[in-house]
Amino acid sequence: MRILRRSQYSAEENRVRIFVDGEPIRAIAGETVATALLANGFTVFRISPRKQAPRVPFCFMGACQECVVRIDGHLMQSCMTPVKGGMRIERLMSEQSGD
Amino acid sequence: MTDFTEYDVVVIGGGPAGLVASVAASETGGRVLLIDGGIAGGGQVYRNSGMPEHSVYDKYSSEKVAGDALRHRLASSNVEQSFQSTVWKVTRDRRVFTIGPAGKRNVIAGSLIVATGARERVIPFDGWTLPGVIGVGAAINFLKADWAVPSGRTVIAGVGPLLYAAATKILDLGGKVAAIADLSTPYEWCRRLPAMLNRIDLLWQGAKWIAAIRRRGVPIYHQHTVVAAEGDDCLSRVHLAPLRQDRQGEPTASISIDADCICVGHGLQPNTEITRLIGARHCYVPDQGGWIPVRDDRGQTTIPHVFVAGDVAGIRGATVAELEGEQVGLTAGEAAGLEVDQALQQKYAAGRHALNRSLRFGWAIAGVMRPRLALLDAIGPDTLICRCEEVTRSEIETATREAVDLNWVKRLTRCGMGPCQGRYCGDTVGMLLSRCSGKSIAELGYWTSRDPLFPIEIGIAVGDTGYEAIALPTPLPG
Repeated sequence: MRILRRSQYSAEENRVRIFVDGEPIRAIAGETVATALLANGFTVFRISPRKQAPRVPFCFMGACQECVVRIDGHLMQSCMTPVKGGMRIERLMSEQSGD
Repeated sequence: MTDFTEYDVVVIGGGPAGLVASVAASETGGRVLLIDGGIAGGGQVYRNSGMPEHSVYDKYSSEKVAGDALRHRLASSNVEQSFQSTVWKVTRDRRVFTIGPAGKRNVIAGSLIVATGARERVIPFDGWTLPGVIGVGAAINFLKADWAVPSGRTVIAGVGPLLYAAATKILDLGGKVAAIADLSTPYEWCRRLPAMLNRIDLLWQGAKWIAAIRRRGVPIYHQHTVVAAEGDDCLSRVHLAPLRQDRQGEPTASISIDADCICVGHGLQPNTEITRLIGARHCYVPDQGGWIPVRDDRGQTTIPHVFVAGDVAGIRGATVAELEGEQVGLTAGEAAGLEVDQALQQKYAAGRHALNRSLRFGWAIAGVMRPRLALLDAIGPDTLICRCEEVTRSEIETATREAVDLNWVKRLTRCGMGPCQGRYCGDTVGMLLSRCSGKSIAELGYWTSRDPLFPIEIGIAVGDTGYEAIALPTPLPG
């Protein structure tokens, strides 16, 4: 799914650079990492272990764990984590990457 | 051996109940700690954004005003605060284990207040794990946190006032709402009207939401539910069907809508993982969200010096949470040996009257959001019940032939063993087991809660323990 940002704060000068699976993307400092990914067209956050199905955030409040990604080396809920410039984010796209 | 910092009162959860409880407790002069997983106080209902305030939408939001007032109260208090922190273990003797940006922080409380609020309940339907299907609360949360709306055509489905709140907010920010499918009937709301008159202001707000939605030509389908979400890698089409409460058998889809997003929610359920972990007694009250901790009139659970406040103690809304938080903050402080003088009692006395008025309204709304067994009819045999471990309805029903409770179902199928730890499948499994066994949900019980309460890195739980710490038994002679 995709998301549209509606804040006036999303102007050019408020953007920071973060990396998603090595790719540099422009995010807004302080928005959630989950929104940064969804707004930049990342339509898959993880692949489910049993049926290999694509998944994205579901509850957006830290309960469902669908939005978990690796942020600067630590597994964290992207829906509850604000973006900081320079963050390195990796998605859990294969069965092994949850280790 | 871990060090535990002592506090008179520790509050877990910084939503309206917890935030206000911590402030009230700190006014006795005691040492109070507030722990929350978010970036600031307010919980989900008054969730703040991590971005500075530039949005035009901001100014008109009554929730932003209310949330800012609470955050200001907290900032002006002596409460110690631990934000972006996860509570992963709590013990009966009130030790609280947390992990946050500054690392591990373990504390011990004279009195513990659990104010962990509620999460959404979503009863499954075919395709509900497709990208594009999110909770109603989820849409409202990323709207509040990031001023963002779902892109494309959005269908909002389920039950409760949140459907209309979400629709209004999405439309206000320029999103597209293609339809609303509301399970409830106008009769259910009319029956509760006398109770809701206690909060004319909220009733009026609801009426304005519905008027605004109708003005935009958004169709509202009453007594309809989502029976299927269709799409390849993401949602493209939604199928709705009428769902009568007394009907048996599968509802047939009557309305199909092209959609990019479904926001779905079937009510709210209390986050009782901590109160169940420490062994407090719970009872099943569907009209208040399901399983809730048994408590006395001071908010104390069956575990001494452990109190609850807000939606975790029964779904009653933000105003009740705030007012109850005040009262529980004082009684928890007293239980920890702190002095609640005349002046402080007087200050919060007015709140008790307001609390009773708001309670009647809160109960009425929670009743509409109760779990609805009829929704089981919309779940096909291959529909996933457990999102995390991908367990289907037919696998669970096979297990119910043997299982006597939910934990047995879990052992047989892995349902509930995934990262969400049964938070999203628990209610549905209870309903299925009840239907298959003929026993009531109250008799069947719920999952056994275990620590860690959330997935954490194993190093945090293990700490500095190494192999040399394991006592090896001496070998037998010969």
